Amino acid sequence: MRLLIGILFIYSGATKTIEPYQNFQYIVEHYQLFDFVSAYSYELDTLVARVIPWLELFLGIFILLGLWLENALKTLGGLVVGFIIVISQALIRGLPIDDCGCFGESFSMPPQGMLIFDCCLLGLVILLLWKKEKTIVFSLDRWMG
Amino acid sequence: MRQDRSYKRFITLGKNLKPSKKIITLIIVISAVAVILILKCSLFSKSNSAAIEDFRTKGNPDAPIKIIEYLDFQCPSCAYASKVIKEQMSSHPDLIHVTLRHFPLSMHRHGVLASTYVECAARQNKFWEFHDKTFENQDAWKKLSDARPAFELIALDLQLNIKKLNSCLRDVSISEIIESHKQEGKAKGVRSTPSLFINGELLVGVNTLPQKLNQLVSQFQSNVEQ
Repeated sequence: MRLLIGILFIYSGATKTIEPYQNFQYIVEHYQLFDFVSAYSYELDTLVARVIPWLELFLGIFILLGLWLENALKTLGGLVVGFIIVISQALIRGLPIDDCGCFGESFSMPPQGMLIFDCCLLGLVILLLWKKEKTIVFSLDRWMG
Repeated sequence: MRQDRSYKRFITLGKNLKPSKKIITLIIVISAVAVILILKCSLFSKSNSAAIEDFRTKGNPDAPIKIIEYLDFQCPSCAYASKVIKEQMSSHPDLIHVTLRHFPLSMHRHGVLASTYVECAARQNKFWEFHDKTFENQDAWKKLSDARPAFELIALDLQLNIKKLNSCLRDVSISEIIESHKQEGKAKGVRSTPSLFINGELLVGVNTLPQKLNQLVSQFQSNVEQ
């Protein structure tokens, strides 16, 4: 389960970091996260579009390899909570978003589906943190003591 | 006893040889960044802002603002982008040069068909007229299950030779051209429409297009005045 989550986030992060960041920025703009600071909304959207894919990639790598595992899982949990908030606010506001944009062009999922997926993902992350002894099997953290 | 000491020495040696966690983290981060950068450079070509001059181009070839637009005729944002660019070009005809490239999206059922009609209109020197009419009537034809009658009406309106048009629509080379534009766009990292390369810099969508063009026009206008 830990390995699957790691692979999922490596894939999600890698597809977005390899492509021009403007593609993901276009998706981020649809969520209208920074309307309240309209003077800086473009710069903030750019910042999110540049940073989040790298964060996903590194968290995926650390979770797959089992390095800094507890911190990585907690950070990932926080990130997933962030995704849930972002998608929920878009649905509440009725923003016209057809595709969440989470996995690039390779996989399309509407926001409602992604919200359910993220909630399940959060549950899995919490489970992995709770069952530490099983999570830490085959991990660099364990090998390094 | 001797064996126990040797074993303990072996374990201690093993532990001492383990690199520190921080070093491993650093190696992983650097490797990941290197792999991503290599993939980025190998998979995607840099956009060349110098476009090939053909019937899909418009404006002053020596204009300081060069736009290469990848579009889908069924995309509402592309219709808006087309309107914004047209307004800027009519106000500042010497400052902007546009090149269009087809990028019909699979989610738009009439995207390829629309591109095909526009390409065929080009063979009768009516590329831009058909382009404009297609966008103007987008709301009407995109809802149809078969958009061909709508495009035929546009063709009649523009006084195109329908026999030549129909012959062209059956020409395989048209779909090859459209597909080659799409592959060209994908090689540059285009994934959605409109994707505009403005002086080589990619802009996706239309949220900031008006501001971006205004900024560039002001910048180059003041250069011209100086």
